[in-house]
Amino acid sequence: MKYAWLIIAVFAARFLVVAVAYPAVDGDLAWQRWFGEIILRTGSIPQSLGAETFTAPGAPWLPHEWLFSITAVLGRSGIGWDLFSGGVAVCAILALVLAALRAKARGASPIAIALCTGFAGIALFESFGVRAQVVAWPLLAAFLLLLEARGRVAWFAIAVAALWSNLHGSAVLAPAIALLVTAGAWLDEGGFTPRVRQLGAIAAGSLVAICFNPFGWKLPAYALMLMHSPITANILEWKVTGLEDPSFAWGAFPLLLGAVVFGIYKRSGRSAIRWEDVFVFAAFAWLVLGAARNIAIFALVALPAVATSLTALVPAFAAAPERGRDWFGRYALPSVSMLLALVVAVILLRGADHSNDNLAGRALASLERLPGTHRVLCSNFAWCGLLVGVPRNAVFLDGRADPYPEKVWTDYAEIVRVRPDWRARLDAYGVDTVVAGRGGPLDQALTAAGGWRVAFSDATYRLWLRAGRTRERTP
Amino acid sequence: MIPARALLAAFVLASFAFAAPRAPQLALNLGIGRNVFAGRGFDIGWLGASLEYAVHSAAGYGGLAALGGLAVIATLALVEWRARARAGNLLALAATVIAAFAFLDVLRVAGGGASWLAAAALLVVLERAPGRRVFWAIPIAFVWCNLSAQGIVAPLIVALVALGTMLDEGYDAPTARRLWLVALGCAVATVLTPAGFEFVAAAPLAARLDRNLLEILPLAPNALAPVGYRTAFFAIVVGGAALGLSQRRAVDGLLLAAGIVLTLLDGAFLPVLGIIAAPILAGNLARMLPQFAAAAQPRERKAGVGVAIFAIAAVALAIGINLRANVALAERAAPQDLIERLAADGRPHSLFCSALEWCDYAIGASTVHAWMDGRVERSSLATRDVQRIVARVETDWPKRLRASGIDTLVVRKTDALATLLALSHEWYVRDGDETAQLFVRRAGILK
Repeated sequence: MKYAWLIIAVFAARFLVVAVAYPAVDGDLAWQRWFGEIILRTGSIPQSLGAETFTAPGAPWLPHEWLFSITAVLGRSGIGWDLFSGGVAVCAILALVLAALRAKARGASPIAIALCTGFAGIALFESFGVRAQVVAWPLLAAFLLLLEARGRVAWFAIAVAALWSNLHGSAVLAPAIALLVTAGAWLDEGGFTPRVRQLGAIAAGSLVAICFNPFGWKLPAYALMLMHSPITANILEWKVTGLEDPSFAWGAFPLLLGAVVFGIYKRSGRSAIRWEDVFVFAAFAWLVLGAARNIAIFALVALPAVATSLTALVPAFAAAPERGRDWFGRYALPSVSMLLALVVAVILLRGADHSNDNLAGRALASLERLPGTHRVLCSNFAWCGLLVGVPRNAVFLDGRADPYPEKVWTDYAEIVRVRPDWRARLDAYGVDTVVAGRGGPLDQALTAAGGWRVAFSDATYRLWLRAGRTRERTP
Repeated sequence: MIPARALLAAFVLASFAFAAPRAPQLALNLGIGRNVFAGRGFDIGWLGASLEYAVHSAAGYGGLAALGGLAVIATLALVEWRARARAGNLLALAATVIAAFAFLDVLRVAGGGASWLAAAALLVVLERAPGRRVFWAIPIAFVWCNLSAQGIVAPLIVALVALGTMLDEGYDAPTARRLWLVALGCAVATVLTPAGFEFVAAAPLAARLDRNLLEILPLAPNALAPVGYRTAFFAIVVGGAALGLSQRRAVDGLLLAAGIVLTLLDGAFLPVLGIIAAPILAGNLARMLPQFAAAAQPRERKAGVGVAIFAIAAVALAIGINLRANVALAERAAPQDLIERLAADGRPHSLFCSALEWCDYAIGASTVHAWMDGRVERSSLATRDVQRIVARVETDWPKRLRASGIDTLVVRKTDALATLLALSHEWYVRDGDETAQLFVRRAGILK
């Protein structure tokens, strides 16, 4: 594991800098803070969309990230932000550490763990941000670690599942994973051994535990529904994974390839199929091949298995025998790790362009200065997350995404992809304000179609208002 | 076991005869074949295309379906032969079923049947030809390169086998030395096509192995081979992970890795992955389940028939899903009539197709010059840039259109490009069908 610390240190620096120093890279944070404020102010969790949208007010909503939203509002600025965003980065780092520890527990060599941790770290890159799903990563890694543990400590997996269900909907994976591990262990051990019975009980307990949240059984039902929802076709991170995704090509794919070529083994059984591992690997391979959003979790699952196989099958990765007092491993490596992390952090910070406006922030700020009310459509729905809860503005669609009905998504796609009916749909919804990427299809269409005027423009975005809208609607 | 194989073969043939829809790539192959017969020159893949054109001319699409079915049956027979040497009859049949799943989307992708046969033959020679007979791989590579651009991977496959043999048998193993010679011979064979040395540079493009093509063409396996990707590819991934290198053969590991990488680069390589992987997985399974690897006993023969029946049921189900998927893919059907009407008006046209494969219908038309068609290797980087910029309506696309002298566009009705052209005063809709619209520049052909 000792070399893995070097790798983890570099990723730690990268995650911490990205999380703390770039507060405006994720549009979801804005609506999550707004939502957290509502929860803190009212003491209850709203479960439907409100007047902040004009396309689907009253649509049922299951805000499974409610706990993250509260934390987001507490860590809004200053030291609070540093703690909050840094905490999210620590979650990513912790996930890597736990996955590497699983590899170590299986007898993988330090060099194999380091290599696979490197790939897994790269696999986390694209999905990383100050986002609720990142907080779920260490919970997944911990859950898997606990399922492998012998004795009473394994029961803590149920508590992890319960906590997980309050932070992110992916908690629905917990009972499924436990069930797969139980089935695999039953095949591996040839009957209902005490461990199989314990795993079965954990699977059942996890199923109950993921209902230990304000939404109860609706959370797993909702998460399952989302997996087959047609709206996923419109969300980039649900796209089918391919080599064009850098995190897959340079992170998860080498792990996938390593698993296929070398197989996935446990230390003790190189000659037989280990169903326990195969079932879990198959499930996550299915997930990663199906959607790019699963690249990170696949890598966390595959890391220990591939590191163990490399150790067992490739002589260059074989574990070296322990030699007396390892001063190098004990003192030199941690020192180098810290130095490396510092260097990476400084390089990242010095090369940073903090003026980067990824979320059309300036265009949306200019909108807030305009009088009257606005019905706003953003050509990237995530940008409109910044407008949720902003007085006098209602959005067509925003980063909450899931609760919007399929019809709204269809109409949104028709408009932003400038399909034949785009103008009629804009009119039908009474959209009077559009935030478009400069030079994008919708921007070009608004320019050519007429009836719209530019209220704000910079190198990347344009804010369009319906022309002749002299009488701004009064609130 | 023979009836089980015959049953599978009859089923595959029947599937092709009755279920094979016309695929976009077919127009490309028929166009290239027509050019060869008309003496208008040789494109990459000329031999396979000529074969398809000849069969199509003689027996129509039914003949082509039969040709595809026969090619797949012959390919699967070679896969089974390789697998039998590693895993015995029953597991070999199971391996053939895995490979058959990799061919499921061939029903839609069409064409290229002879290419897979060449791939399977190459692997048979590399694995089973004793002594100097392994040099037969060179003429096979020669034929493969003339049949299809995918032949460019032949030297790579032989080189990987040579490298793996070195790792498995030692760096000075005579077999490895011989294989390196074969690899060299195959590399030389790649330039023995009408394209000569240009084949080496152009074939990776024609075989769609260049990642930049992703900007103008669908290449992902889930797009090109959606059913095979979710079945065969997944089965190979999980099977590989579960069984691993139980035979500890580096050759197998290298070939499997290459097959997976090729498939993810271009989904059309999925059948090649099936050809590579099925015997490897069967061999590994035989190590784990040696009782199934022995010569078939009467009871196991019954099991073989059972496997075949199960396989047929599974393939039938998958074909059903495939045909259903084709309904969703109808939007990508080529507007052949539109382009044929354009070519028949007798005037010269410089044509742009928002879906590249549509322009394949213009191959060989004397009055229609396509900006780009499926022969992507014939276009320069600048030409491909314009294709991308215009199809995706990126900044300055109208300027690029003007500068390129394009006066006619066939555009999918639901594309942003169609809407923007309709909003422009420079263009008008001259023709259309349920899928596409044909736009013509008002000012006429640019000078």
